[in-house]
Amino acid sequence: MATHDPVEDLPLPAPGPGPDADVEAASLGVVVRAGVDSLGLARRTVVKLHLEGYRRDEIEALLGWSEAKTRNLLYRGLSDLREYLVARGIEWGNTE
Amino acid sequence: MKSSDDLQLPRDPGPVPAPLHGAFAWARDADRASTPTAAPDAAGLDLLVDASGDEDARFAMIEQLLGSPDGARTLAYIVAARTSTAAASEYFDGLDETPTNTRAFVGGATATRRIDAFSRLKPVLLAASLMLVAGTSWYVFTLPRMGDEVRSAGSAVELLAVPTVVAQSPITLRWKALREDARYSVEVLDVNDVPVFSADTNITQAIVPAASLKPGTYRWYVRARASDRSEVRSRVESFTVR
Repeated sequence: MATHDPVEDLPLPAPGPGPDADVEAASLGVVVRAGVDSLGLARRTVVKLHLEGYRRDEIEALLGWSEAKTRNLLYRGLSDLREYLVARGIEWGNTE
Repeated sequence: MKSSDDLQLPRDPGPVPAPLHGAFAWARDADRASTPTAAPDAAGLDLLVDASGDEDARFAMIEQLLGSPDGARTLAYIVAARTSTAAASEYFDGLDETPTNTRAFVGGATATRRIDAFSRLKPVLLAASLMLVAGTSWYVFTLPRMGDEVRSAGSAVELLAVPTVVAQSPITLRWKALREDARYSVEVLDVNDVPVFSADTNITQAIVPAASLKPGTYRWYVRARASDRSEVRSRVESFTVR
């Protein structure tokens, strides 16, 4: 009787937004994480909080900062991140 | 002397595009699953709420909290406590005890009272965090039927070791079963993070054909999905084909 390895017979996932999308997110995630990690400590913290979904007023309250200081560091951090990604061929998507 | 440009606020770079948000979330979740940060102790949390303290240490504490799911929940509680200003402020202002904690918590005349009240709330918040963790653990570990391996592996898929250097031949990747209704997706990426193999299976191993593997270093990981659509990932492991 012929034998076969059930593992080798496993179907590969269908093309589409499933695993491919995950792999794409994984690849992009490595670059985005490196970009965030390249920021200075204050900007990095604010950008991380922003990417976590915290609003600016929440970041202000957490850090005890003024609105201007929070906005300044967030904008500068995001601009640095954008510059980092664009330099690596990743579009930010809202170029003016 | 500073130019006027130095004093101007930078221009809004615009919202972070959704794909980048998704990519960041993927990297964050992978980090939390593979190398979660330790829970901060009470002194660490005190450091966080001390606005007059060392700012770098506070940043480090925030990063530590963001580095694990439990820490992220704790941070969310802290932020919620600090921003519920409307009704809370009225209540805090009505307190007639002399605040004992004079550290600045949030700006304004009620700052010291707010932090005094927050000190009162902190045990409640920590208790709520613990209850949430306990409830999540009960759900994850008790409701599904799961093997002992799961208990030892936490809630992540546990990969079984592959030799770090292997010959160019089919390689069998194995992991521990998570629960009976789980399906597993295994992915192998090359050094440029390009996928060279992927498979979807309900068993706990997959064979990567030799044709997919040229000499070089590869990383692999497994995602498990249950019938209730819950999903966990393994840490990322690597091996080298010579």
